Amino acid sequence: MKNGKIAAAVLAAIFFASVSGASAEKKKIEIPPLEGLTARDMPYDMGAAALLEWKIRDCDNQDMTYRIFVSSLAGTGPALRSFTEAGWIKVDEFKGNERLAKDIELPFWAWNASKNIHAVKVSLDNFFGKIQDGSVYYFKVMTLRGKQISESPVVPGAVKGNWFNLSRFNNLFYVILISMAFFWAVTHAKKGNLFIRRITGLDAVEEAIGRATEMGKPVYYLTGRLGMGSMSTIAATFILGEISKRIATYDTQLKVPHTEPVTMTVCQEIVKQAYSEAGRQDAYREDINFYVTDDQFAYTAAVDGMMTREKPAACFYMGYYYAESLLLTEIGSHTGAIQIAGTDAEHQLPFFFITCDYTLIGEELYAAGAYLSKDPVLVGTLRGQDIGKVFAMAVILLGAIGLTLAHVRGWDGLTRVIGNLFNSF
Amino acid sequence: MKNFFDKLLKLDRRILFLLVVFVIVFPIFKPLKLPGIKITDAVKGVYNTIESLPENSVILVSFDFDPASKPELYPMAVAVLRHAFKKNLKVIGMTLWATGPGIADEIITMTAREYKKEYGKDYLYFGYQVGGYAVITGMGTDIYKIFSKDAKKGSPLETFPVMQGIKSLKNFAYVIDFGAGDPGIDTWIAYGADKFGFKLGAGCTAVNEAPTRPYLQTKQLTGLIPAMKGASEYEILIKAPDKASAGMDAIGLGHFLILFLVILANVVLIVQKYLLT
Amino acid sequence: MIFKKKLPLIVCFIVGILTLLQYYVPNKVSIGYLETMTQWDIIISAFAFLLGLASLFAMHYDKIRRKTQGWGYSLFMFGGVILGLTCGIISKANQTNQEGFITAFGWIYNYVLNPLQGTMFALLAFYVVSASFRAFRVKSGQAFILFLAAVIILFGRVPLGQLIWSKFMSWLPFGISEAIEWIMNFPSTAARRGIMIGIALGAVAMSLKIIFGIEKQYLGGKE
Repeated sequence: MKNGKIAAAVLAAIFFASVSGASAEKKKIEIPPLEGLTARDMPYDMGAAALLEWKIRDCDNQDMTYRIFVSSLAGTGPALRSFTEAGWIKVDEFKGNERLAKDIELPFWAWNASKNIHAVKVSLDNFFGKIQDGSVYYFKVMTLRGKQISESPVVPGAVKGNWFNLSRFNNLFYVILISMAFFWAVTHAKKGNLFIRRITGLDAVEEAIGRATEMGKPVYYLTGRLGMGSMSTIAATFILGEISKRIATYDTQLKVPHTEPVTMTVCQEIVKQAYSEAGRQDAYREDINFYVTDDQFAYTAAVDGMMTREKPAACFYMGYYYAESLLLTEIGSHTGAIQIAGTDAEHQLPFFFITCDYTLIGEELYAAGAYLSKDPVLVGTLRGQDIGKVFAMAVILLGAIGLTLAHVRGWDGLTRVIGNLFNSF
Repeated sequence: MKNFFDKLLKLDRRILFLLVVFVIVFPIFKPLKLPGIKITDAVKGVYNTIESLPENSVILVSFDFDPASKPELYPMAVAVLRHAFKKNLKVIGMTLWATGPGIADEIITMTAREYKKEYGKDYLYFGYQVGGYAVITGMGTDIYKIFSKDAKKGSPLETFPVMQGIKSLKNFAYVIDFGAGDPGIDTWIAYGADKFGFKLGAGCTAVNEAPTRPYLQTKQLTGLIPAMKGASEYEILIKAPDKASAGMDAIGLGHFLILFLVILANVVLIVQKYLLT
Repeated sequence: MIFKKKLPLIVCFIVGILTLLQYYVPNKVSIGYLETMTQWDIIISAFAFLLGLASLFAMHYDKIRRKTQGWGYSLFMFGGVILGLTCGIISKANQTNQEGFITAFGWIYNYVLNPLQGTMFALLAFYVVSASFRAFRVKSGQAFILFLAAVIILFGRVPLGQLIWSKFMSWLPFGISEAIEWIMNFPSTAARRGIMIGIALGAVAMSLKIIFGIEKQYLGGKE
């Protein structure tokens, strides 16, 4: 027992001696000076940020801190020596083992994601407002460990706006690839007939208009909640053109209530032209298209009211919809109208499915204009779209196989390459 | 018998409407306090991000909804703002909806008062700006070009201490959008967070939950509070049960009514098909 | 013809290409272009509202003038606009005044607009129930899978359902929350992504059609 106590005391003494020795030794070690600090323009940005880089040092750990300072005056005269006169601003602070080049989110073709270099992006516009191209700023890095402080030399760095964002090259490459496929399809479309699969919802358009003519009741056409900036609204206006031609021929009444004034103006032109192409200028009335309100539910209430009173024979819901979809189509279904919907708002598809007779899903809405017009050039664009789809499927398949392999084999490099290729920066 | 089943399948919708009224109104008068709310990771995402922010960080809250979606989005907005003020964060409010300013103003003023926060120093209200995605794009480069004055006092933004160090969207520690449609969460992601790279969280209506969820997987959103249920979870997280927790009874019974009717219709269909033929 | 068809196509082509390139050019010139376009967009949006207002007034004025069926509602519409506008101007679009009292505009917002919009939105609950009852009928194998997924989600979305599941279905290796997460994260998201990829490609094709003037229907016809 006694021996045990002695042994413990000896061990404790050795431990404390080693600890105090180590700490004494630690105190003695001074922070080595930071060398090789460079400041340059941050690549691929508008010219409002600088990039500071220096090699990692043996002393880098989370017990020490880096502090970054910037000044616009430090390079001139005595200000170089005086901290206050130079107007140094602290812009960043982080642990010694943080902010490596690999932490900057840029793809492998545009950036060397090294683990051995500290890379710090300094957004100068946050501190100096508007940054002029070619402006020079001065930087220094302070290293702190306990009470020890070490300062790097002051380095200048000029910033300028870049003309090409290389990190978005993947995106540009895909755009060019898909555009080439698209134009190839369009030019070849003129030469021959292309097959388009049947879209029952669009085949039913004739039936719906015919029914309205027989019953002597109006056709309602809604272009959705969004404006002309939305693809679905543009597609809805294409379809309106084709449908109004048929309506004009059948001499049926058309009503297009709008929630967006610009769309209304565009639709007025489209319907007028359609009536003229059908040789029925006399039947065209300015009030076919009319504005109701911009407000979602006030619009819904107004259209619901009109549909309940007039009991239309057919209702078309094309474009983008939100919560009003069910409120409109449920009323439409109770008035007994044939209902055809087309939307790329995939969250509203379930509501359209259960209340409408036919529903065009997403891209079918975009294809509808080409389908109805049978214009060979427009039909050709659908083939371009299909080539894009095959490309997307191949990429998804290869990407999934590649990522699975990388995960199983632990190939982090491959994960990064695939991730970078299909990411937006 | 067949006649009865036929009638059951073609039940007058007014009877269904009456049933809905009953299951929703009943718990309002007699709260059932149904148990079992579980906290989901999506809601925790917003909570944890706010929790991780240091004091005095500035967050931006966009109230992109109108009175119609108020029952779904108001409780979560109140809960999140209470959390932010409790954590001594600085809050800036705005809206992209023309019919949203009233609610946005009400929520931000009410919660700020609860925590005795000072206007201009601890919180600010930008108000409404027309333009949807264009407003977000503009704020991404220079907020002062889009909102030159605040909505309450009409003073230039730079005169408020809370705006110190805030120039563009990138300068906010966190941006949260309570969105009911367009412009909303999709807009903030496509034209804001993806383009300018800031942390974004969101609260949505129940119908928008499914389409918004993929953004969580792709980490384009740090968290998502879906409708009344999400709000009730958030209220539990901040230990301040309020309107959402109370509304969960009605929502629970409403779900069960739909479940009952759907099963009933199918049972009748099976009976008709196999037993009565 | 040049001003009505050719010029818009040229403007569309130039602006379309510049906006596309803007994404790849980070320079201040490019940012400035985006800012200017954004501001123009905001200004046009604001003025477009007047266009809508003019159409609305013209239509309702015509209804009153011709005394068509329901022309009284048109009078009501004009009354509403005048009342809202007057209250907005008097209250300077503020809901409360300096003393914290509610203004006339605030009263309209809180006690007219709020309940009216709330009522319309609340109708969804009724329509969802009636539509589900009518449409959710299992008539095929695929419909059964859909039905099963719907039942699990409806059941597990509410606390009470979760409680019942944990009491009576605890023998299953997964909880209802996990089942819902799985349905939402995998089959549902996969289907949505499929649709979204199709939509995205369709949108690219549509953009190219518009930028290069292949589709000109939105200008009021082909010629």
